[in-house]
Order: sequence, then C-alpha cells, then structure tokens
Amino acid sequence: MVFSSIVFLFTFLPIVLILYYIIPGRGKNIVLLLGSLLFYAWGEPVYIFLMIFSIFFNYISGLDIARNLKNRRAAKRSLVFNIVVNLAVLGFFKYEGFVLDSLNSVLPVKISYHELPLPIGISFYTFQILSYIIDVYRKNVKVQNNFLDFALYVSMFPQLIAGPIVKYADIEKQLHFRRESWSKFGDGAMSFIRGLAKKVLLANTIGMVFTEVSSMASGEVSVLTAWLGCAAYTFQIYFDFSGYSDMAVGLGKMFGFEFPRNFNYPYISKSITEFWRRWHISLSTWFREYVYIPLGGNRVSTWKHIRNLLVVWLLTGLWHGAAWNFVAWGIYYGIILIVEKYLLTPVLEKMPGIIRRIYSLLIIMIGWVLFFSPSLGSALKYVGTMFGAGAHGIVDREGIYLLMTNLALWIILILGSTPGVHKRYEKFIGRKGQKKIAANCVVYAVIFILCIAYLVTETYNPFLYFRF
Amino acid sequence: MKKRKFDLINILKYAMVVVFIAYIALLVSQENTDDVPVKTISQNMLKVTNTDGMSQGTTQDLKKYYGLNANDYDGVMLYIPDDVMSVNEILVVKLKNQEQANEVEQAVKKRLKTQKSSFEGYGVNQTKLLNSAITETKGNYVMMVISEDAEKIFEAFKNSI
Repeated sequence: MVFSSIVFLFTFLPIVLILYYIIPGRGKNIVLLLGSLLFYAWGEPVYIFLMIFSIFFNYISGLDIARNLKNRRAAKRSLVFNIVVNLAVLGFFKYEGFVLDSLNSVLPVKISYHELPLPIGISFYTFQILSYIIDVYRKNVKVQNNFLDFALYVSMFPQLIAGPIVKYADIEKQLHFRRESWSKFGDGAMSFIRGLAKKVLLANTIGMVFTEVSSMASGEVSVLTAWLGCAAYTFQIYFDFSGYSDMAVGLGKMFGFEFPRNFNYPYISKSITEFWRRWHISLSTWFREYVYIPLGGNRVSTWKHIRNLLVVWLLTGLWHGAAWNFVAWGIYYGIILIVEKYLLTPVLEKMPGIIRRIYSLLIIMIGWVLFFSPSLGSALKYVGTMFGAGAHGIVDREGIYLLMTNLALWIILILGSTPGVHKRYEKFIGRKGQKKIAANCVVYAVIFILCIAYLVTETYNPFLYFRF
Repeated sequence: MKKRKFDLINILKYAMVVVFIAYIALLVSQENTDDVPVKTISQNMLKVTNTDGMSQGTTQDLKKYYGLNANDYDGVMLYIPDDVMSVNEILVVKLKNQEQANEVEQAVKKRLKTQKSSFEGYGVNQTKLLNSAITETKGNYVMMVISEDAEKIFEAFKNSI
C-alpha cells in the first residue's frame, strides 16, 4: 500500500486513526502494530512472514546481548552473530542476483539461480533493527523487554517502507509514552499534505519530463535536452523522496511520535559535504554512527581517514542498489568528499555563495546521472551528451519545447527547493491564533483536493525509493 | 566439569535462524514446484484485463518476435499488439526444465529492447508502457506483460501458480 493511494487515504488511514484514538492506553500500540502488519501484508503477503521472523529473532537477540553485557566477550559474540544473520538475510534478498551475475560474467562456468523479488522496505527495517542491537550492546539504550513495543518499532507503517531510518534511541521513550494533541495532529496533517503534494503534484509531473527525455534515442538528444532531463530527475527524486519523508513524519505526529527530519533543503548546499548533511539525513547519520566512527572516523591518520570515507561511501552506494552504477555513485561521492576535505574547502570558502551553490548542484546532477542510468556505459554516454559529446546540437526544438511548456513548473520546483517559500508563507499568515488556523485549513484543504483530483485520474504513481 | 544450563534464549535464537533458512528454502522451492497449465493461467490473467489492442499470437508469431519454438515448451500463451502503434503484449511460457529459463529470458529481454528502440523518440505513451513492462520468472514459468493493467495481470499470474 502506498500513502498516495485512494485506498490508503480514504480507508486504511481513517480506520486506523479512529481505532487509535478510541482505544485507550497501551491498546494504542496494539492498534498501530496490527495496522502496520496489515499495511505491509497488503503489498507483501509472502514477505510479511520474513518481517515477523526478523522481529522474533532480533527481539531474542536483544535479550541475549543484554544478559551478557557484563561478559563483554559473550556479548560481542552474540552481537556479531546477530549482525551476520541480519546482513545475510538482507544480502540474500538484495544482492544474490548482483553477486552471481558478476561471478557469472568472469567465471568460465555459469551458476544458475532464481532471484526472489526484493521484500519492500527490507533495507530500511534491517538498518533500524541493527541500530537497536548495536545500541543495546553499547549500553546506549535499555533492552526492550516488551515484545509488542519492539515489534511496533520495527514494523511501524509510517516509516516502514522508505524511511526515515529511525534509530531506536530516538524513539525508545516514545514507544512507552507519548503525548497526542490536536496541535500536534494538525502539524502532522499539514506535513502529510505537503509531502503528498510534493509527490503527486511536483515529482510525478516533472517525472513525465524525465521519462520523455530518457525515452529519446541518444543521438537525438541535444545538450539542452540532456540537461533538462537531468534537472527533471534531480527535482523528481528530491520531491518524491522528501515528499515521502514528510508524509512519514506527518503520520508519525498524527500518532503522537516525533521522527527525525530526513531532508533540509539539500539543493541549496554550498558544498557536497553540506549536501550530505541535508540529504537523507537518517541514512548518513546511521552510517556515521555505526560504520564511520567505529572505523576511527577522522581521528586517525590521513590514509586511514581516506579509507574510512571510501568504505562508508562504497556501502552507501551498495545500500541504494545491487548494481555497479550504484557502486560507482557511492565511490564518486567518496572521492569528491575526500577532495573537498583535503583540497577544495579552503578554496571554496573564499568563493561567493552563488558559485559554491552552482558547483554543488553540478556535482549532484552528474551524480544523479549515475543513479538513474541503467548501466555505467549509458551513464558515461549521457554525461558526454550533457557536455556536447555525441549531442544533437547545443539547443534544439525539443529542448526549447520541454523548457517553455513546463516553464511555470520549473519555476515552482526551483522555488520549492529553497526554504524561502515556506518561510514567507509562515510570515504571511502570522504567528498564531485563529487567523493562522483558518488560513492553514483553507490552503491545505485546497492542496489536498488538488492531489486527490490528480490521483483519481493518474495511475502512474510509484515512489522511487521503494526499490531500495 | 560444570554442567551447562538449559538456555531457552540461545535455543530460540538458533531456532529462528533455522526458521529463516527453512523459510527461504520454501520460497525458493515454491519457485520450482507448481504445475498449472498455461491455459488456466491465461484465463486468470485475461479476467483482470481485456485484450483491446492485442490479438492472440500464433506459433509463427512466437518464432518471429521471440525466435522461440513453441514445441520446445510445455505451453505458451502469447498476445501481441494488433496494430503498429500499439505495444500491449502478454507472454507466458511454461518451461520443460530449468535449463530453458535463460534462453526464454534472453528472448524476452531482446523483444523488449527491440520494441523500446522502435518507439524511442516519438512514442511517449508507448515508451512509458514499455518502461513499466513487468517480466518475471517464477518456477517453470517465464512471463512478460506490457499493458496499462500490467500490475493486475502480474498479480493474476502470481496467484495462479
């Protein structure tokens, strides 16, 4: 089930909300847990068992690590065992085909295999589970003795499918006690509608421009068209993924939870280092806390620091997908961050902000080419076209058509990628009081109706990050 | 010598690993065990869509578009576009053995590639449908569907076997 579907908006969500607010006390967690299992089973009737087994295994593992905490060797053995099992399950479903395909391409014999479909959200919930297990071992959190609360942490439907990756430490207390209020519910509903609009009105619409460009034969694409195609994807992935995160955070608030922010206007960044502090914050934070820092972070020799960065970015690339272009995408960012850290930062700091922003956007856009291309070869070809190699001229009719017919949309997307619009809106409607509430009700109701009008007529509605 | 205590947590932990392995083995084996006639699958798939823009393909069509001989397989269902501007297409092949899977998968990939290159650049809707084509190998069945109802048809295929 996806958030931007009629069945979710008008059947599932209202029923779960009503039951949640009717049932008192600890019963609320049971409602949320059952709702979450139903939400997942709706799209993955077979893999719901995988998630339930995972919940059981990790609940028991957590207890095992906790009881061994005084004997660090035993605790460590239990931790390693748990990590190996979790990564083996993730690896089997996500990387079996990639590994065997790669082996088949270099080995003289062909290993035959049948790739099972990827269970939706497995990368997200496995990382959440690992955050719990590692933090129990580190004594950062107490072991969760309540099985239902642990099951809810793993399966909670607002962020189950595409994040944000909520660390157990961030939500530990809220699982036991949280306060719901009308004000929080209203904030959550607004965040949800903003996310829905980002996804339905902006990402899906600009996605059509990207589809149009990507379906053109490579020799027919001009430099302008190639850049517009890349810009379209740049906006599509941001509004799609940050839209989903806004919806997840909003739904969390409607149920009384506070999830961490996952995006903070990444395209206004003045460096790639800053970009990764603003893009998919929960994933960057996860890798920093559970991989980068344990490897020594930056408190080691220069070479080890470079190694640490490359390891983290190789893993970040692999996390996104089992394909060589994702590996290349991860290493691409690893190298850029190393260059920024050791060479570019002093130079960048002397430059005007606008130049730094253009520099960052260029790097980001080229990175997205690696991300959206089906293979490394086609990515290099596309980047070549962006810079004139094999292009159908610099500017052609198709490029001008794509630019001019979507001019209003391009402007909205650019403005929507900056914090200015939201700040001005907040300033315009005032700080508090009845006037603000009334204005928000009207504005968000209009946006919601627009989204619904779009949803009932449009069937093409995937979230890009579901495949991770 | 110290006598080991009955350790429920450890037993459950290792038991869950066995459950994981059994579950994955079951999923993989399910890919291989079902034996449903193509006719039944075909009927179920056509219940959730109509054949507008398609006509039933013949063994010659299978040879022409996919380079495959129908007699080599346990069964074939093929619906092909009924005019040059349509891309709607459904193919289900029931294999005689697993060794045939690669050959059919390659034929499907090649067919999709040919169709994409035919419509690239001018057929936006067709390209969109081709890009959202669903291909799947499940047990002894290889399936491809290009249709606005692709998801529904795919679900019907999955539920049939």
